[in-house]
Amino acid sequence: MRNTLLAKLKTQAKTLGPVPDSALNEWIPKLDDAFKGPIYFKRGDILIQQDENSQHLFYLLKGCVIESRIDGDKNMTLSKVHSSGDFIFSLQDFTTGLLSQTIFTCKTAVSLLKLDQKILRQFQKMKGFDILFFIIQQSILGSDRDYTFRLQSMSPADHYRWLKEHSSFITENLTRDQMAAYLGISRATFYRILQKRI
Amino acid sequence: MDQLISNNLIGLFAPHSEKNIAGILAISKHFILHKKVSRKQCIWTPGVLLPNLYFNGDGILAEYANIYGKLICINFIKPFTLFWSDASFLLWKDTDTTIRALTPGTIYQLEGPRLEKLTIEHGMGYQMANALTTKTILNFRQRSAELCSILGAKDRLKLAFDKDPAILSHISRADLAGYMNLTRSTLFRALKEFYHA
Repeated sequence: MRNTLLAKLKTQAKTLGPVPDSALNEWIPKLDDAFKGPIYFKRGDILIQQDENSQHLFYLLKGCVIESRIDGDKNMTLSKVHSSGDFIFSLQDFTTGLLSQTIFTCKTAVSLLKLDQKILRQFQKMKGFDILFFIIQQSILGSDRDYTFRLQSMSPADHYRWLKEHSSFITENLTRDQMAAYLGISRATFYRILQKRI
Repeated sequence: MDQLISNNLIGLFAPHSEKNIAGILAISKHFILHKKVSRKQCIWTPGVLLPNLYFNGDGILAEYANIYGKLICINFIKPFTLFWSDASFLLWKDTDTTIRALTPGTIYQLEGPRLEKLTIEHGMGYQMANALTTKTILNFRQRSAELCSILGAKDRLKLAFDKDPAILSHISRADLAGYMNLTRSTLFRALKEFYHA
């Protein structure tokens, strides 16, 4: 299972650009040692709480995790749905030191690898780790960019159809309320879309 | 101009700007005049590898992407800010957007290889790339949160005007509708309500 993490980093590095082989050869074994697991979570378990100071880095082996936020009026926004092969961490906390603004909830049974925040902080001070972190960030940027572009260019009904075809783990695992939040529409509008499709 | 660019970079590197200050100042000094642009002139078009960092002088720019067959305004670049192609500078692919001037202005540029050399000279490693990537991810998350907010068209419009009043007065209604993910007729109704309120 651990091999999937290493393979992912290598593939990503090769696809995305001129990352020096020396950096990968040095850092990939270190990461292999540092990531612990697999660790298992049940459906409904919370990986990172809103307002929690968490800087662990997770690598999702199997399952589905949603990243959401509840505002003062108890409205939910769903910023990301993670599936196997994704890195998970509180970007806000990790980059600015501010508390996590989102909550990470397991939507299914989940298995993952975990890099403890204490080790991660040591790594961050070491030469060369920034290359690896860049690779991780690139994969996050790619998926965030695609999601924003879909939101901006597709009608909610087309977006839902697209998700069913290309990312069925999202339509299969989210509740209707969560799905409406992910598409940026009210629950009533989402129900109408579902009815039309039936 | 150096000062404005270094202020932008300091903000970008925060909270690690102090330890990178020598590199930031060196990078700021190496920006050169790229071109003076007139209204509607393009700074880049899709299909080119442009791993460069740009600084927008006094103009206002808009970024367009052809997404699933629709040409949509996805971003505005305010005066006196840094900008870059997400696809080319951060993902090492060809550009997939068009940047066009909404008002006349001046563009400064630092070419990728020069930037790489400077970051190596000042021991900055991939910190610049990480800072820009983080900023871009946070921008996309903010945009997707805005697009997902279930506010009505009028409230969305108010929010957009509160945020960037100067910019919105320079864009066409078709671009504004695309940016806000509204149909043109919904936008027109919202504008009417907005001005009559």
